Amino acid sequence: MITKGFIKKGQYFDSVTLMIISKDIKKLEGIIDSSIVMGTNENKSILKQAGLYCSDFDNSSDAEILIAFQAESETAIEKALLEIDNQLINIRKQKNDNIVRKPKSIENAKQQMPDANLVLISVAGKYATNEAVKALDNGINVMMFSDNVSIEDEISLKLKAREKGLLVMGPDCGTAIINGVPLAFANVVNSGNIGIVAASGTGLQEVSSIISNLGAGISQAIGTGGRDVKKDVGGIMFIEALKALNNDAETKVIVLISKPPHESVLQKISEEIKKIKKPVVGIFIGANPEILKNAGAIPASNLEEAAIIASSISKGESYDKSLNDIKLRNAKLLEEAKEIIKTCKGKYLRGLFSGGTLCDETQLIMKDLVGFTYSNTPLNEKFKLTNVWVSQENTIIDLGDDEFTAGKPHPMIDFSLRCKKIIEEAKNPDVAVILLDIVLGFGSNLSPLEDLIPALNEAKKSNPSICIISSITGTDNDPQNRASIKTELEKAGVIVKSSNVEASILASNIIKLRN
Amino acid sequence: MFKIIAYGDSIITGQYTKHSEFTHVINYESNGLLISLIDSTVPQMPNSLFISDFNIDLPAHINFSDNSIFIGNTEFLKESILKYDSSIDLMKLDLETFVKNLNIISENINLFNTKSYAFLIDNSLSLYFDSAFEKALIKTVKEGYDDILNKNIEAGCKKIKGTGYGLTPSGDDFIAGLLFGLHFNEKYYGKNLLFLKNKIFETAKSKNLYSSNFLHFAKEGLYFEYLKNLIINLSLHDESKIIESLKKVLSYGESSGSDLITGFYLCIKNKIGL
Repeated sequence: MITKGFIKKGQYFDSVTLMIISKDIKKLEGIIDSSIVMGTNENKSILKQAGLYCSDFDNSSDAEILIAFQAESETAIEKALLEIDNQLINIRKQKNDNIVRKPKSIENAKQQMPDANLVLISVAGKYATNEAVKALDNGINVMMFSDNVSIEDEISLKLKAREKGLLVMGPDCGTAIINGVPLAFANVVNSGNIGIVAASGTGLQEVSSIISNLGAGISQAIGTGGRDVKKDVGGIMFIEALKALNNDAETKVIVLISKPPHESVLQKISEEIKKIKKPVVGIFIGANPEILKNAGAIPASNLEEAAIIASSISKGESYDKSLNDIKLRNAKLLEEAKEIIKTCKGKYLRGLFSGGTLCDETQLIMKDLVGFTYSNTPLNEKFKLTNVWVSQENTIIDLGDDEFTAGKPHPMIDFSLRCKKIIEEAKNPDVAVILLDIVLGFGSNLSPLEDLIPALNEAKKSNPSICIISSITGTDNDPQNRASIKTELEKAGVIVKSSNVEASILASNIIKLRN
Repeated sequence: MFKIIAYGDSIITGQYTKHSEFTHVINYESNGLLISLIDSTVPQMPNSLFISDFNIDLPAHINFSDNSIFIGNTEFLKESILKYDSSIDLMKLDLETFVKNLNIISENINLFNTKSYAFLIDNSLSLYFDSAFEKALIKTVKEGYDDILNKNIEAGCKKIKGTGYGLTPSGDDFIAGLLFGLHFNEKYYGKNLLFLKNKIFETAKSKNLYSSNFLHFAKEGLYFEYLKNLIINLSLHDESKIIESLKKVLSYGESSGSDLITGFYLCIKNKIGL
């Protein structure tokens, strides 16, 4: 271990800069510990206590910056010092360029961008309402990524927004596409004439991605937050969004996505659908399709179907043929499953999902083909996992649920838990299939393969007969590039399907045949 | 053409030379005194010049006379510019309500997870200090704080001054908060603490111009905008406004605001100096 120190003389950097650099340096390979502090006598004394002091610091003054390292080697220190210098140069350079200074409040931001008409709020829940009120008072639409907002606040905000002719998307709204701009977790999709209203984030992502991959496009995709269609909130924004798309000249087809709304809300939505002259396609996951049919919408039985129907209508084509093609495809999946079970052992499915809606959709498909599955978010409460960390029989888990994400990044961003579970489940000889959803787009893990491939390789090594199936939600224009992700996953022995439905049907067929 | 929107009320006349430049603040110096040119994202200060446009070629010198401000060769008459009043007449505030509302600070001190000295209020925040330097830092600061509580204020400030992260080290910001708190204690309890304030200032001042200028204003009871608003709101009855203004102070700098408020709060809470 080497301890070394450097002094930066005659340079001034603000505290935020120094802290950011300090955090980055600690992550560098070979650096055991480091500190960047002003050269006061008191800080020198503390550096001594911490074992980070060097004699080079003896003659430094209060106004100089001390950089202290403990590292495994001289090389590591040299690299770290270079990194610090590079960061400081970049910061200097940024200051000398004409950059827009970041505003610290909505009022400031409005001054800098007077034409802005949407604000995305992502602060701790207890402060989000205040910020949303400020935005609405300034005539700005709101997207609230924040959760932990009280239901009373949500209702109050949405009523205020409705009065002002504005939208409040959320709280807990993670996905939207407005005027072609993907917001928060969203995909890069074609522009087109299909508008979406969704009380489901990954549902919106799956449908919008499939629509784009089929060559159609999105006009607007409005998220409402999952609680909007519950009884208390009453579907306020779901209905306002539906009206907005009805009035939008660019939108020719409307798609509605949600879990089943409360009865009273469904009634209101139905009343609204009846007033709309544009075709409305609806998928309320797990609900009886007749409900939507009676409301005058075209019911879809799953997310893929909703996307296919909407795309066909948008192109002026009949969707019957497309749906027939899907039926044929699904029949072929049974044949594919028959081939797979020749080499596949085990009898159980383990679904490891990052998207809650996709997890639910898969559970429904499994229920139809095999039966209820265990889950942390089960369709049937009798199938609630005793311990969410321990799978039972056929298990499909939503890793994005609170139990798994407390204090940690969402599994769409951080794959570490899922990779751990892949390796763990593969070791169990009773497991026949591991099913995954890979959700691409902005906000999601930018290098999913870096984490996944080693885990998949290890899984295959410990259990060569394990069958790993995945869907990929996304497009080739996403930052991760869907096509290249697909290629690499297939090289790693994963069976990649074009939608969560297709992947789930294949997986379910395998389990059905194995049992 | 840019404008000077406001100037601080404590700028001494003289010629100032450009000293340092940051994204939102450009400092000019004369004999150890700073003037800070600021934009709208930074709170006004006793020594600030709030200007309308930072995207200009700022000159090497600023001249401050009794009637005018010269930025390079351009003259601005003071009479046509707003003056930022950095003083507060604490006796005009409802100090009883202020004291009752003080708990709002301690309840919300952990709003932003920065490595500030707020661990002196909420010890759980010390968990964020995990490196060898940080563990030694906490030990030193806690020892200094214990000295202050045991009425060895000068010794305690000696231990705390200059410690910690930041261009203005956390210890200096903490002591500035302490000094601001002493003004309150003076007025609320009717005791003259001038000698103590001067002693603390002399102990804490250093060659760090940013810290020393800030400590000077704290000693003199000259408040920057965010702190002034917070103090006024604490003496009123609107909790949401208090939290709003507290957030502004806490988000100031990397941890400066949090360090300052910690010193301010603990000074009043523990009746330091009395």
